[in-house]
Amino acid sequence: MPYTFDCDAKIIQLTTTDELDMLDLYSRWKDEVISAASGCEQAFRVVKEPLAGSVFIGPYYFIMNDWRIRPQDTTHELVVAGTLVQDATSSLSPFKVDDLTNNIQIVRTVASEVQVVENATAEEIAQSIIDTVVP
Amino acid sequence: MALITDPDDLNQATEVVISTGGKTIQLIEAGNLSSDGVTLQCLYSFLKEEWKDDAALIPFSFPMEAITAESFEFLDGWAPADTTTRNLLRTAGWAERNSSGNVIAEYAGIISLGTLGGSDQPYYDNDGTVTDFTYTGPINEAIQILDDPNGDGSYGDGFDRRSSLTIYAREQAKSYAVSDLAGIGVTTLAPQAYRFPLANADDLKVTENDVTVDAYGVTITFHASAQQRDIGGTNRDFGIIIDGNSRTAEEIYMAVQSALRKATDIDDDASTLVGQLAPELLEFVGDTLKTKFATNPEAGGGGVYIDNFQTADQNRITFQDNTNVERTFPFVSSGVLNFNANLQNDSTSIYRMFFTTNPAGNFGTSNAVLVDDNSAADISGLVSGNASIAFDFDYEGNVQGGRTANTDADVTIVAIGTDGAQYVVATGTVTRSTGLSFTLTANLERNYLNP
Repeated sequence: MPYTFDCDAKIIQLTTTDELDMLDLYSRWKDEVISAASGCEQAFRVVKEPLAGSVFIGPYYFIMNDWRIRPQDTTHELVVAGTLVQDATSSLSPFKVDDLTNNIQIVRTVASEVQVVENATAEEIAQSIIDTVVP
Repeated sequence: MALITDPDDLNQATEVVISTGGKTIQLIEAGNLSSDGVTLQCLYSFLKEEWKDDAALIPFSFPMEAITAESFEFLDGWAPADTTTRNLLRTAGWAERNSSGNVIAEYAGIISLGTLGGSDQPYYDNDGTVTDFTYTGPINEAIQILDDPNGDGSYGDGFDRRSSLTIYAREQAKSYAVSDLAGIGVTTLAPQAYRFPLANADDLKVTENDVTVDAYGVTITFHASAQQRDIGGTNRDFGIIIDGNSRTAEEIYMAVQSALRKATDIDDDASTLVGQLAPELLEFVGDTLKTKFATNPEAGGGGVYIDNFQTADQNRITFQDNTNVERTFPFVSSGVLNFNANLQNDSTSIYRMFFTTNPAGNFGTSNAVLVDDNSAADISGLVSGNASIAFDFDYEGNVQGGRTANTDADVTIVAIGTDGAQYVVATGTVTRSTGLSFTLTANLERNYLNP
């Protein structure tokens, strides 16, 4: 999905009604910072730290400094893939919907704990499931 | 032994030989008399005692007259017997008159004030050449200032050097000292004692020997016309140019100091100037190298400039121009940006330095202003694997975005990579100083995706 970044208004404008992939948004924001040479304040930080094996806690995408995501103003259901949380540097809701004229239902999950397994063996995946089910 | 001041320490035929036939007084380094010498007042007093007590002397005219305790005359053809005798006379000057009462020679007693090392070799110039004093260490000896062998009052048969005298103390790894008649408020020397301030001390800025510093390739040129140099956008005139040959301030200083002790021509053009007689050109005040307003024997002026010094030394060199006004380059702050391993290892990592606040736009806005370095280029770029990147800043001249020059600059530095380093931001202040250091530590990137 393409995005536009408004440095002064601190608005990230979504340009489609497709699923919002936070990994993609975070990556494109980094691309924007590198290419635009603008002095915008930081919009995101991510926490994703390794546990034992190939297990990671996170990622948690923290939206910062009152940056906000504005959905496309079309009636739709916006599904957010990825755990997006509000950073302590932000006092505003992560989504800006107050100026929208259409109904947008935002479907997002803020998990209290997120773990992913990357490049794991079958045994590691199994053990991770066991650890989760049988703490 | 010490300087003799008591006539009781002198004895005829031991320390003093009186020749009534030749009308000479001879001093011999024997008995109580060493190279430390004897005051002329003491010798005069001794002669009085001898003339009074020695029946063989009283028939002859008395050799001397005291003008003051430090000024005497040898009369009626009497004179010190030789150069050795004259060199042993201390704390006085004198005239020598022939049997007709005419002055045929004058000597001024030169005494240095202040500390000189015992082995330091002071020298003087009263005729355009270098002459060492007879003894090393603190000076107390007479030099001839007038020579008129026929006593006719014109000096074509001799010389008249009463109107000029400069004395020097220049030793390797010591501060240089120089003193002249103007410095003691005298225009014409008389046959008396004069005291000149002349002291030196260890020079902590000289750490290499002459052979080493002479190979630095530093040259000095005394120009016959003023030479213009641009300092902070304004041309200034200088008559003496030192070519620093890209050496550090300390190296340039050592090389110039060494040159000023050379008995050869050090002027790097067709004209000639012996190093020992060249004026002092440089001094260190703390770690700041200052050029001195010097006496240029040519007509280009006394300002001293250094070409080809190292850029890193620009903030600590000052120049005295032909108007004897100190000139300095605008201060350039400098420092380094340090990057952690994540930024170094990410080949796409970039860094940028913004003004945190600026009339044209603060950091955090689309009008944020990238900070220019001293060459007016943005302080930004690829990290390119560097652990640190140096930067400089025109502290006195930067007016980007309408900011006020010559004030501290609050800055925000951003660094970011793609798949290796997360975004990191650091803030700091560029002050009027060098050695600034800002560190950017980015977390390892585990999320970036660019399929």
